[in-house]
Amino acid sequence: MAERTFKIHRFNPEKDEKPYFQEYRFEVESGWSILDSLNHIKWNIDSSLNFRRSCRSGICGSCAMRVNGENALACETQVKNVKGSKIKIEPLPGLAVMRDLVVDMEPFFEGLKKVMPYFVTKDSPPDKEWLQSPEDRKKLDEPIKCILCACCTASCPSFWFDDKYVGPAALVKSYRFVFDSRDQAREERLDIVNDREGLWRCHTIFNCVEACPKDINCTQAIAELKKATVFSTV
Amino acid sequence: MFDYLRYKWRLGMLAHILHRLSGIVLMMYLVVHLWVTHYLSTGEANGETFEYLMKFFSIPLFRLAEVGLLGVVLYHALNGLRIILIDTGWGVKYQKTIFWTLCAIGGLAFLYGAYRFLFPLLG
Repeated sequence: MAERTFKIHRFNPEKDEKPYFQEYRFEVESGWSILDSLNHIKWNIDSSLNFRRSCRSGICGSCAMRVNGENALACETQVKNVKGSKIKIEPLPGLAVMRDLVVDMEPFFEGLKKVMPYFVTKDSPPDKEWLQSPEDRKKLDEPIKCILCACCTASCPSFWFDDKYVGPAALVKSYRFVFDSRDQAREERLDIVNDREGLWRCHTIFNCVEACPKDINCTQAIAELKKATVFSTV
Repeated sequence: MFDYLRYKWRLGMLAHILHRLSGIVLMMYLVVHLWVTHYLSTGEANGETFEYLMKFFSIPLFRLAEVGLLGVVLYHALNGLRIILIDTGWGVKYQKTIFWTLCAIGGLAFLYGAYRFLFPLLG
């Protein structure tokens, strides 16, 4: 048990002219995550606090927010690992704030929709399933871990300045299908990401890699797509 | 712009911002450089202007500025190499190690260059 102070971004568009920070100080039990602390505030201190959460186990990707200046999943961030006298909690940057810690995810999902985030097959389906060798499957180990929490895309300065940029999450999704041996729309996919609002907006800043709660190396995936694009057009 | 200041700065972000800033400095230097060198090709009469400018730029203040320019050029060139490596998928996982290695190489080159630029002033 230790007492901690949480400095939380508050904004209610119906009441407040502009956002402000509100502080809450309370005893944090050992083992509590940031999400546990937010739940404690909502259930016991101030029920007006708004934030998204669902699974509380790092699968749904709902509780992405900025903790002490860096995007993370609230449920996967242990309070004891967060340094500083105050724990500052803000909504994801680069996305419009709807209320308190809730942001409008629409631009994020628009980017995702652009890269065709679904299987495309042109041949008639086989009798059973589409087969894939263990080696080919291994190539997808990293990108399929993505839970679409938007920690990466909302940490990207290129996205802050231009929300038409599809963002690292969408590019990782594109990678996931481009390098899937069963997919049959490789050229179309590369054509989509070979765009100024696609691959070439990435300036290798690595914020996405630092922010990803699933340890996906987005920059590596983007670099592989850049190479595939260049070699498929030369 | 505001988001830059409120987001936590990691090495990648720092390298990126410095790359942009050094790029702007080099752009400005290039304009001055072209302005000075254009006097070289404007005939006999103006050759004197070039000589005059060269003398003007040889005062200690500009010597110091030259050392600064060397630093900016080194940073932009070496980090540019790092970006090329990353863009082609090499050593993405070791971007921090690559950054610090290039910093060490650049640092040594800078010290040597600064010594060569400033040595005439000391003697």
